[in-house]
Amino acid sequence: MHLTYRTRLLAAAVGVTLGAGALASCASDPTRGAGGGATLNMYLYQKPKLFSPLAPPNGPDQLVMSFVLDSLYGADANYQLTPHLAAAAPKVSADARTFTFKLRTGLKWSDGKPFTAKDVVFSFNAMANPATGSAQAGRFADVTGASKVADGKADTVSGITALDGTTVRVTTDEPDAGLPALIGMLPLMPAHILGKVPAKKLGDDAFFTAPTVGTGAFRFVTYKTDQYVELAANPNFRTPVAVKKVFLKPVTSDVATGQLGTGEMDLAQLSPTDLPSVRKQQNITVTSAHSPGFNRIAFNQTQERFDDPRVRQAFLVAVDRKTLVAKVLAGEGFVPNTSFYGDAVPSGLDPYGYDPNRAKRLLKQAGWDFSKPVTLTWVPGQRDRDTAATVVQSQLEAVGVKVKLKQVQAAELTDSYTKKSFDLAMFGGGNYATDPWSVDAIDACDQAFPAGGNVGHFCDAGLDKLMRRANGIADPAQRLSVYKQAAKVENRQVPYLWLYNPNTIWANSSRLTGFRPNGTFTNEVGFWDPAAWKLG
Amino acid sequence: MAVFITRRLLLNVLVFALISVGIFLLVRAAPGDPVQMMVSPEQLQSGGPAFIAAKRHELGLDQSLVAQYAHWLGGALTGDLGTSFVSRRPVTAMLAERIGPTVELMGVALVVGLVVAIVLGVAAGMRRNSFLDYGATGLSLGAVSLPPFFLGIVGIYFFSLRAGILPSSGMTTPGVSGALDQLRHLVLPGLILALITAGPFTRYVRGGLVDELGADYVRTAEAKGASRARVVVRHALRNSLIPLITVVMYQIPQLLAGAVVIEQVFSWPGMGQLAISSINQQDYPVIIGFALWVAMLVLLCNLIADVLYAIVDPRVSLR
Repeated sequence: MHLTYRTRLLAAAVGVTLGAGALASCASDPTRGAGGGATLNMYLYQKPKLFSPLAPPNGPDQLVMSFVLDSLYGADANYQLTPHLAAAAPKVSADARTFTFKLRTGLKWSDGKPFTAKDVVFSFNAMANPATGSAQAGRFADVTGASKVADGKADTVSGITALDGTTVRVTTDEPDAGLPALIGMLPLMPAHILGKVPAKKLGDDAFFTAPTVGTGAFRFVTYKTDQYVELAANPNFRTPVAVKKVFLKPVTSDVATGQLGTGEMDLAQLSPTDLPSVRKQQNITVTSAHSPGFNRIAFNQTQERFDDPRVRQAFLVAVDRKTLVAKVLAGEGFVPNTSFYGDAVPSGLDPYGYDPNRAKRLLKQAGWDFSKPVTLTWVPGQRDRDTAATVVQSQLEAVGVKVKLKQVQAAELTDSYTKKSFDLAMFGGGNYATDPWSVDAIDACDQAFPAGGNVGHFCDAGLDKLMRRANGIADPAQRLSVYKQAAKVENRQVPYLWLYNPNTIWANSSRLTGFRPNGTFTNEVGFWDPAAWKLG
Repeated sequence: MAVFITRRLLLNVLVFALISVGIFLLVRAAPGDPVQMMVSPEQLQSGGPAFIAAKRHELGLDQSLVAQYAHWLGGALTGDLGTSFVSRRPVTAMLAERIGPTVELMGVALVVGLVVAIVLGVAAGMRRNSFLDYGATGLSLGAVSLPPFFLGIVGIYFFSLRAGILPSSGMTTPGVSGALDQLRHLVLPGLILALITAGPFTRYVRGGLVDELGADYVRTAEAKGASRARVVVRHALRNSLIPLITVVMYQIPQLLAGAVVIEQVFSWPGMGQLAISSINQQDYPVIIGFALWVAMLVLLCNLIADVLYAIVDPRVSLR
């Protein structure tokens, strides 16, 4: 049979089309993830790297670890410590130097081995020891014997002991009432798996690329590099886990939002800018909660012009932060007037409402040099932050302050902190511990970067004194009262230009029930109790 | 030819060594410190400088640049490109597991792109100034002009979100195994990259064919009574494809650049994703490993292009 050239071409085209069609239709719902009813597909906003409690905190890694490696405590909806593996709140001695943690009884690791105080002692020792490559050692600095371990003069921290199978005692050299919040939420590691690994090799142990044994609601199954993390319900978790399988998928936020509509995704964290398109989709529930995660601008107070609190106050009132939250965050957030969060925020703080005239007055009183421009540096890529930068620029210029915008890479921003070469730096972060003591790390004179997170080199001896006093008080109510005094001082001093705290916003398919959003320090681990989730 | 290949290989080794020095220095000249980047400032609580100093020592960043390069070179010569600062995994293993997906994506794009380009280019070349010619020209110009990420997003919108017939991301469906599932995931990113690849190739095929169809030997073949199809396929097309060999080889690095973007859009676990994340995190060993892989690909493609050209065109001799 002879076919013309044109007929052959047509036949080939039809063949290719039919082949592609057959391929595309080979599944009944080809875009949907596998597993059906008992499998949850969840958005992971970045690719995870390493699942190690010893490594420097990294959002996506922490999110995965929150499923598989539990801690003594978590944070509740009010950002207060709530018991996880611990049976109750820590017992704090009157001098705030001895902390007793009582564990729940009958706890097991996912491989069936018992979880005991030995595991806590092992984990705390590993994290307190810089030789393991731990980025958490600073949190244990006050614990008795930690400095000896850090100096290589001892192998174990004498202040961390197991009194019995379910009781752990931690003692400190100085009063440190904020310690339980600093160390209580750290993920715990299995001593029966890692206990014999030498300290120097522990950080690089293969366990941390696949932590298959844990105490979380789920157990780690596999990580298909850059594609998905597979988790399965932990049969030994302290309560029954309804969802049998979870796939955490690192995709772009646009794809995640789209996949909510196609059914490929059941749960995703959203940025406020995605809200309008997601709300249009059917069978999707959007929930949000306040969060200690923030967006701020640091003043470089090693420059004399930012040393005067009136200048910092002027910058704060020159920016219409409420409108920023309303427009840029679609109302999903709040305007803070102190670095403290939750219960530690007293009433009667200066609200620093938008007032350009007050800003001009304050700048004049402080002798601000209007001829010298300031540069606002930030890492671009987050839509709310990018918009905020231009709004801040125009509103500061409206009160006479010339502002240049400078976009940099993350590494360059950190470099400018080290060299103290920035003027204004916009950055995101969060109150990383539930206790108000965490504010010390960003405000205290001795926490100036890189010793701590005080990137602006703010210093107020009075505030430091109040903070230290509060951290030495065992009684929670008394301690809170002193922290509230500290918050008032901080509110007057304005160490940062507090822009806003965005809410943690989540969208979930209607087949998922029992999900509750909850802002935590990284904002990305913005939920709690995945054991309570159910799939319809 | 053997002498030529040996000489070029030796020259490539020298060029490769110089590139490694250049990349090593350039990566370290970038602003910022990879260790300081690991820790968000507000999480530093005392112990910050101690951790940073210990980590710098552990990673060898406290040594001189010469010592660091010598250490790296010593490992590289034995096939060890170091350990990732971030994931603490060997760089060679990280590259090895990602080369497959990237080569798969590029391979499909190259083959499909070439087939499309030859079919369209021939059709356009044979019917100059027709609607078919204008259509092919418009399509190839569009493929060259539109950025890959845009085509990717448009593809996802229509085929995944609207039509729901193809998956929007990943290389497999979580929890599903099998070649068919992988093939379905490959369709959208592979075809979009193929479209981008086909754009310039179509122009070359069309241009080459138009030139050849005007040549004397074509007229002679037609005068001898050869059919139009035989003249085009057996005579003109063969000669017009010779320059394409060089173009294809030179386009492979360009194809990789397109793959980097497509991998980002489709969450395809290849070299591109690895490169972007390692650059963002200043993961020096991984960045260097990736850059050397690209350099090797470019050098190899150039060598293959020269050799193939000599093989298919007897007028070219290699010395």
